[in-house]
Amino acid sequence: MNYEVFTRISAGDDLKHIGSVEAPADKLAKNYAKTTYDEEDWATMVLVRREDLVRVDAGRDERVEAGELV
Amino acid sequence: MSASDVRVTSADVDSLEGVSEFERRLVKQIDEHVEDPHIPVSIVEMGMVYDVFEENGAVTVEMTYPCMGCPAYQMIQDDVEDCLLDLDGVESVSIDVVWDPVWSKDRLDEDVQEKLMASGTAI
Amino acid sequence: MSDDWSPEAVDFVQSLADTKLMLSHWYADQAFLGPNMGDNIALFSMTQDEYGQVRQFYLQLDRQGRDEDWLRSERDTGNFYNAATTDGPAADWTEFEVKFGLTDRAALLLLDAIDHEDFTGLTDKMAEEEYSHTDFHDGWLEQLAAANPAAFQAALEDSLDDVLAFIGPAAYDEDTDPLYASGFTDRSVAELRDAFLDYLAGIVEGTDVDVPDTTEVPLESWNEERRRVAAGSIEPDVLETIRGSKNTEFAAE
Repeated sequence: MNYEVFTRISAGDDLKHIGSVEAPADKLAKNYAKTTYDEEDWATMVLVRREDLVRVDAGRDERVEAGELV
Repeated sequence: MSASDVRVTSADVDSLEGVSEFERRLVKQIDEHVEDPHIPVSIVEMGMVYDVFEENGAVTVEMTYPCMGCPAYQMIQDDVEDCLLDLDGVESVSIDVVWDPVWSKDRLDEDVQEKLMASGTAI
Repeated sequence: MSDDWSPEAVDFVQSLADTKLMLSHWYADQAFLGPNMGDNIALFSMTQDEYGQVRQFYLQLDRQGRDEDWLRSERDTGNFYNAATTDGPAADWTEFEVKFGLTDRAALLLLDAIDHEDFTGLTDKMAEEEYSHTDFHDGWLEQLAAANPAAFQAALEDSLDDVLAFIGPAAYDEDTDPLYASGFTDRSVAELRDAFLDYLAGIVEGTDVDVPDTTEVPLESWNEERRRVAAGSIEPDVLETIRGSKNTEFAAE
């Protein structure tokens, strides 16, 4: 499963998309995100399953692909 | 050794309590000469040095590490020893690695945290 | 530093150190092989943590008369007190996680039970570092138990007795455990075994894996020094690798 990683450095900053991880389950995805994107002491780090992203700019059911996000 | 025995708390050497003039010079020497290998602050600023004391030329440094598996473990100790031996009045240096209290980023002063932020480093 | 460690305490700490040395070795061995890049990052990091902890245990052991040079480079394979689960490599990722993940957890329980002034702060720091190990291993163990129960069950049946022998014999309760009796640890082996089995039950809960019936470790066949019942040890080629015998010219002075 693919997960998109969103973070902010300090409270009040915009939440930014910084990358993605691939993992078989949520718990491992969290572990990978923490260890892979450890360059900041993030105030917020959240994951969104890529399959849960809802496209707005075209047909509703179309999948969002990894390459579109970076 | 326990938390209350930590005498060296930051790079602000002059404010250290209960530390002799000569011991202050020793702390300053470490502060000026031994940088953390990862980031542009000294190991004193990093809060890794807990105590420095001297008796008849014999210096003992109590220090810790943020990570037990530090690859520069020995190199840092060698640097501390070398820079102190350069000072007149220092005959020998012994280093005790201690873990009480456990190091945490709370040991960094605000100005050190700002320095790290400016260099793009997160702890 | 104090000189009131019992001989059992020195053996116990060597067993923890040697087990961590071997975990470090097998983590490094796997660290280019995944399964995912995130796992490689975690494995390299855990390799370094374990090795750093071994270094501190060796310093403590040296002060108790167990010479550091001997520990590092002079002893033979039979003088390694590592848990039997860490003698050899794992055949696949499920076995890797079951035998090494559970051994890492058991080692954490054991070191966390040490209640001696020489370890003040030291074991707290180790437990702090181990948080990322348990987070990683628990994630994988839960995943593999759910997704791959038959292979998980087989690996568990192969490893569990050896992990429990590393923790120690169930017969060591508060009245009979020499480490507890001398005050070196604050929990008896019996209590630590129960804590480990509770933890394991939590890992496999809701999956098709059952915790196998465990064999009581008979006191007379349990090797107190090497914390195991089984014979066997690391192989000579593994010893050569962990010592770095072929790379001495690259070692820092």
